[in-house]
Amino acid sequence: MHEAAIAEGILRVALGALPRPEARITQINVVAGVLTGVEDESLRMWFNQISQSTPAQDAKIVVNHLPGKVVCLECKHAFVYDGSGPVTVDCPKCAGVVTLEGGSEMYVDSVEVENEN
Amino acid sequence: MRIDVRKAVTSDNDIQAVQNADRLKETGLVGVNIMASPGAGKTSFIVRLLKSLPKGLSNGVIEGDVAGSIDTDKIIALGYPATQINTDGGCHLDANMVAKALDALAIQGPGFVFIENIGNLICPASFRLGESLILAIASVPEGDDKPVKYPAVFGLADAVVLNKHDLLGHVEFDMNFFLKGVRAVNPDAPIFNVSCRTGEGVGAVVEWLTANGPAK
Repeated sequence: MHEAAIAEGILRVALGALPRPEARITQINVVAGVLTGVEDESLRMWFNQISQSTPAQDAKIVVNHLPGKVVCLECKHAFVYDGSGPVTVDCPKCAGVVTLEGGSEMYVDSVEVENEN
Repeated sequence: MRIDVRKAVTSDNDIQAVQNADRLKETGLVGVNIMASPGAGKTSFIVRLLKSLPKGLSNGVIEGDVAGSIDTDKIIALGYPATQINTDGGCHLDANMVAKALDALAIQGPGFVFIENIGNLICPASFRLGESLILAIASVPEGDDKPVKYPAVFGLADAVVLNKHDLLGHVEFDMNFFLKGVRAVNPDAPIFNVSCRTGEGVGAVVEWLTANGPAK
């Protein structure tokens, strides 16, 4: 349930980015790497709850789940880790030692606000 | 109108974490964030460390739990300073909670502050506390697949401890797979085999901690 804390973080960052404090936010674009374990439905539920009576009330939360990358240290073969299962420990091509890169990012990429005019 | 933001969701927490880190450093303390699943042996491991670390250090413990103060009571009963954080359902500690706990702990270094995070291998990974070192603990009866199933926590660790090593041979556990799993998510961290029950391997962790410990 860390989505509660993440929703609070998203709201704070989004409100801090507003050109005018009363501008209405229609959409928040979030990047969350697959290692962060962010669950969209839970995040939206918490966000809806805490954003009531703020300029971000009813804003749509769009989450881009950035994948990680597994790279073989021996043959350099690289493939995507989408977070849906355990990390592969042997390179599927040469059975060499692999290493996982990326997937821990978590930031508000952009916010969309209602037209100022 | 689209406004580019590109700011970390945890940016407020990150600022507080830096303040905690500064404060720890100024008082000669080294924060150690200990992450593991429930039952891996976090508290037993901290107790072993407290008893084995060199004399002359002033160590303390911050215990994070959803509820209750069982672990804190245990540590205070052994004569070490400890303070409790209750998250009331929250699944991880954050830097604000640790800032308040440091007020309550009120110790002066040189020494270590062991911060026992909530037993959970997912959420604690996203929240920095002001620690200098991160220890991830796995234990033999949990199975050999924990690093590859929870890559965030094991990937962040400065050292990985495999506790309940004395149970090897009594439960299903493929040591080779475990080691390869740690390496796949964390190329550099030392891996320590430990048994908090027998004391096996604790000395090696103490040596590693001392080498990374408070300036003399």
